[in-house]
Amino acid sequence: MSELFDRVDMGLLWLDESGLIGLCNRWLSEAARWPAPPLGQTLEQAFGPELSPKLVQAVDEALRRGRSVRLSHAFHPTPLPLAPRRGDAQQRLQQQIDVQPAEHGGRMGCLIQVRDLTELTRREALLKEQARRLAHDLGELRIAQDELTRQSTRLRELTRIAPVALFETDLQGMLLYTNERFLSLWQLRIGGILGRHWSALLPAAAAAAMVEPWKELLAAQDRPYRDVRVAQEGETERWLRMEASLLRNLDGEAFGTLSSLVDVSELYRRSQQFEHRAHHDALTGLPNRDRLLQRLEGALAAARHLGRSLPLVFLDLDGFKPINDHHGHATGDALLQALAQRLRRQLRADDLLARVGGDEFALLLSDADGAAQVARIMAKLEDVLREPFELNGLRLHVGCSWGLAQYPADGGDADALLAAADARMYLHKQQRRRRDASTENHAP
Amino acid sequence: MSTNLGELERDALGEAFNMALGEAAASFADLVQEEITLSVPSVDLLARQELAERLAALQLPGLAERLTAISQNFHSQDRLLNTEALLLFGEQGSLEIVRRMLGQHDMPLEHITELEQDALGEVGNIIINSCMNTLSGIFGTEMIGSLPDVLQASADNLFDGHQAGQVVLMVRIGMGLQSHDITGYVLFLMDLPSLDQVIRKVRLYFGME
Repeated sequence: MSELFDRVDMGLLWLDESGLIGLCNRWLSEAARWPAPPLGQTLEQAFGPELSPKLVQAVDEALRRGRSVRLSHAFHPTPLPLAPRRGDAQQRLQQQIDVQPAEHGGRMGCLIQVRDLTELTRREALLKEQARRLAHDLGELRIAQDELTRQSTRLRELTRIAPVALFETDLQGMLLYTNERFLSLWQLRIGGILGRHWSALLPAAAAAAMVEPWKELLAAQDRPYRDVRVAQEGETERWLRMEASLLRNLDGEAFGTLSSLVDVSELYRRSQQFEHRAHHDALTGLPNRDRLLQRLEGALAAARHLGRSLPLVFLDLDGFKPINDHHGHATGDALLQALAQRLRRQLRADDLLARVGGDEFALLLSDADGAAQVARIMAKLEDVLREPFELNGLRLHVGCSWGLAQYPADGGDADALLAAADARMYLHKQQRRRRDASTENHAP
Repeated sequence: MSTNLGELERDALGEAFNMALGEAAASFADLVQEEITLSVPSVDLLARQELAERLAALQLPGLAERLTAISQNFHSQDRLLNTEALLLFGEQGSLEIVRRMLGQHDMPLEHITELEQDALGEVGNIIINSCMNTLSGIFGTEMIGSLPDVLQASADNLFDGHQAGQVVLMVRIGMGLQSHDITGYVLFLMDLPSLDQVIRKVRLYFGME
């Protein structure tokens, strides 16, 4: 029997009714570092002060009351001072101990079984640590996933509500994604467009205008934008503001492109309007004094450079004030508009007729060499002014006085020329008044 | 010997096991350091199959899932009285008890590990032994006990090892932890001769004979 016990891979100890060791297998003797089984000794004598009182109590329960008692490792890791049988004697085995009443050799007593849980404990600690880490990683993953979902929702909503057309392509320009605005901008439907070159989906003129700027934008480091004029036949002028950038992975390698298009036609229209308003007289639509000066400076610079002369005419209406006073401002304004149109029609596209005051105009003539040519043009203008204006059932007559100043003879800059022309006009007006007065005196 | 319990016998058995379980609950309360509430005991005589069905039908917290059972066999010295005492918890409940006692509330593992089963074995052992101490006093005989067995199974499979026709004295006493939604049950399984012994000893104890 005892030889059989020696082969068991756990500690076995049998105590008789009085608690004396009656049997001890080899496993336990080795783990307890006993040279020989301490037969006839009590547990306290055999194991010394390291013996757990819980075990003593359990043995008592078994011997006196027949109870079987388990001391689990979790609550009593080392009830006995046992060490690994081959290894450090200071180390302690992690144990599970079962105590149960048991007869041996016809005598009542109790059996103590000792299992070594050291390896199991190690494995479970590892398992729990891994489970904890896994749970932690899973938690992190869940957070990341949540964030990703939030981001992609955010992105989807952004692309939906953004007032820009967006399109993503691979590096070859093949379409991978567009938002709805891109589709509506070009009146496309989503079916069948992905995988095609983005420019192939556009009207030919637009594609031609946009491909080169797009490539330039991608090549640019500082990601500026480009406004592209998209000409579509039969439509009003259209401007698109294009931005494009490369999409890069974490290593910085480009893997695609993302571009946006915004229709800025309205912006352009407005800025042209502002420009026009700043430089034109609101009533007649003629260029204003600012515009005249601007053009005059340019023309003077050219004339200076080419060594040519430059004629400037100052023109003032005769008989306008009485009309204004008599028939009201509305009629005066209508007359100015009609008059401006009539004069404008007589001039070449390059000539500039500007309204510089209430009934004062200035005329910058291009390519008019010499006073004679100017006089011819002015005669023509006087002719058309002499024709009466039919306005609101009225028949109105105005005349004009004008003065010519020439660069460089009459002045070297705009102010001097204007002043000279103004002075000549005044002279002209006075001469006419005198003449008219004498004609009136001689009239019958 | 009858398989039908009379009113008085039922009451006497109920009282006996109530005393025993009161003792057990006290030691359990010591272990978890929390007050344990006991339900009024119900005593029933059932066939094994019936017991499994009753357990499966219990719509109580934890019992719908797998069960953790800690069982110990006991016999009187004359071996005329044999019984198996079973302590039942839902798997989640038992997990919570043991991790609570080991201070590992945050353990993400879903199942009971081997060491945790070992610990549960000791917990059940303490509860069942203290219950049996009281019963021994009532029976007037020492009850020799085996070591605890910890097993996990569904209610259907819990009694696979038993004879189908065996009669079970089901003493059902719920033990609840207040801070946790954990309820445990204690069952005593015994054959008819043992039941006869128990009834006789209980009647004797309460002066009914």
